[in-house]
Amino acid sequence: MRLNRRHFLTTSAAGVGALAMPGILRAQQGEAVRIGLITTLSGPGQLYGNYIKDGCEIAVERLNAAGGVNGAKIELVVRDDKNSPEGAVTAFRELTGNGIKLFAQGTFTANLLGTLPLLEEADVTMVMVGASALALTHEAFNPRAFRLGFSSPMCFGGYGTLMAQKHPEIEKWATLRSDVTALADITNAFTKGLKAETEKAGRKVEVLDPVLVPYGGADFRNQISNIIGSGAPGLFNVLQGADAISYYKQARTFGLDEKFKVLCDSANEFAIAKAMGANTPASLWSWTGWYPAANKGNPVSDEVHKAYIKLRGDEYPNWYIGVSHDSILTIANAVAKAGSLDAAKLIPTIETETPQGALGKIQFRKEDHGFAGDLTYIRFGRDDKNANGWSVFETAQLPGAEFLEKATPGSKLN
Amino acid sequence: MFTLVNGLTTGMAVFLVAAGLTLVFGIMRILNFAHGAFFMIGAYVASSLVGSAPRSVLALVAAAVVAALVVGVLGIVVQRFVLRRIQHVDEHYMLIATFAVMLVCVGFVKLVWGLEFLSVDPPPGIDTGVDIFGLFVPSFSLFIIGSGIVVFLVLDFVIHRAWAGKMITAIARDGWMAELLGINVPAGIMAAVGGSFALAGLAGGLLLPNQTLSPALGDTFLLLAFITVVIGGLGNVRGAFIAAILLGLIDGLNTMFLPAYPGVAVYVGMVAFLLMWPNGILGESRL
Repeated sequence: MRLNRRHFLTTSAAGVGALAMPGILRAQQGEAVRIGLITTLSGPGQLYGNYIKDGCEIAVERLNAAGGVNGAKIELVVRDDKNSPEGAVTAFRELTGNGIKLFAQGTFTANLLGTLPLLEEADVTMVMVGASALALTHEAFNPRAFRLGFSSPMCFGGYGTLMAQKHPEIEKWATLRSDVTALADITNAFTKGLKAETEKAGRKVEVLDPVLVPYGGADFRNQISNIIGSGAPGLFNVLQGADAISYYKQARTFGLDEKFKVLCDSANEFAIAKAMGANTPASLWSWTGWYPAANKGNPVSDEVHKAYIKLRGDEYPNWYIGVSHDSILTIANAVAKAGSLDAAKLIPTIETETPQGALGKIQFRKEDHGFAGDLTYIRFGRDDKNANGWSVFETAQLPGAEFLEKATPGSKLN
Repeated sequence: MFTLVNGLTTGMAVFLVAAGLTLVFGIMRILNFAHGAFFMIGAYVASSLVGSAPRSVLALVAAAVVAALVVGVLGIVVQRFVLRRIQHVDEHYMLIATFAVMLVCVGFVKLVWGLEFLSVDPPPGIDTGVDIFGLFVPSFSLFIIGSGIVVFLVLDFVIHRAWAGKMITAIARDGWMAELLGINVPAGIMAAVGGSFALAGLAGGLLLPNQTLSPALGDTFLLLAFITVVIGGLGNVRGAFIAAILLGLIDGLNTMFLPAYPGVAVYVGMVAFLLMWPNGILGESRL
């Protein structure tokens, strides 16, 4: 049977009520199902927190329009973590004090590490939105939390694999990153995936030591000169946000497009093209957590995309929109299926259910609650024919489950 | 050689930001934590004027001058309502008050221009590179170096040669005596502080094609500007100029000899300079 929007909404939201236990459902009817959203709405990170809020609100609006959960409306209670673990804990305590049992929280790992130890005591269930740090599903694993985000080995190991498949002619890669541990993990994951795939094909590839720049730096020209002088035809750039855009701006003068045959950006996706417009590099790969055009035919993705365009007038939503939407969808679906807000019933439901989300099937690995969805990569660049000054040229998808790191819940991944 | 040229570029970019910071200290003895935020406002104002692709170098410079005027006016407002009131209180209060001004500025930028990254290209004429004796040098680097030198020369002339500079120097050194001699001290301070803030706005406009605009832009140069002001000697414009060049060169050499530790040499250099010259290279100054 072909999945259509009406079918999805009726089965995963309101319609699921018919399948659940009527006795439990009665307790829900007429009362709103409250979901606490803790995210960054001030300070550094606000940009991403706003995306998460938008995505969650779109989910609530869509699900409520389809009848809510078991006849009850969903109510999103949003709190700012003030970009600190203390702020996240304060918000968490306030919300649990008000009886909230369901949580979505993201994006920064440090803030999640503040609230994770409190889940047991508060008897709640949480979906961690977009967070990627390994600690969340390894040494800091909490069975009440599910990570709807992409770990570094998964998305950047996959990235390296994809580049080895797409560009076997590139035998030497340069890497560029800030001196930050999380970015070192990304670089290592890419290198590992690249080398593994290359060796599998019986070839060899050289990955140069990373060129380092200070985080939040003002001038990258020395590093640009070094990296261009390396002679590597492939570049993997792990700078983030404003640093990455400033780097591309400054490198343009040095002939970045001509010096490298393949340019890979870690995860800045459309932020680069939106800022640089007609001066976007000619061709740039990037990982993304959700790109609607790559999910055409998925009615949920299409609807979320449409809702976001209506909300913000932006055709190219950040990937957090899709991920945060699916976080709320995951919780709502579990409540509908379990017919309860009780964590003891919700956890096995989330572990086994695979609802259709904007990202595709939402599926978590049972052992460590790591997300095992598909990986998406996009290639975009300068395009004089497009009014934006840039276009998306190509997309590629890989099965994320194949790149998930080994599950070691409760202990560090070696 | 490229490292040296680039070090000079970094140094002049930092000087453009640090010039206003050291002037405010020279006049009012206030370390203005909000200086980076006014640099950021200058950049946003200029970007609103030129869009993402300035038509010419002249258009970019004109936008920077307008940004300077706007930020200068904002500076006068801040001086009138905040700085003047905290001029004679403990330094802790000054830091907290100027930090609060910075938060207000960041909030203002978020409200007006939003959170998304913005980018402005270098205008035609300074968007490529030039060959100087076989060395490739980005022409925008030459623009920054030239801008830094011009701003320094103008400032130095105004402070040490022009009547207005002498009047402000007199106010900074002994306001009571200056008032006795018939100088309008409040107006003089207001003009000088407005000028100092205007320098932050000018720097924001001139450096526009170099950076990405975001509400965190103010932090990019603030720390380096503070280090420059401290090494050069608080309130000393000539000292700041020399310190900025030295810091830029140290940073460039850091990339060449210690690539695994980016940015570390600047801090090591600061410690070394302060051990040798505790009051800064040219000493503290009241302008």
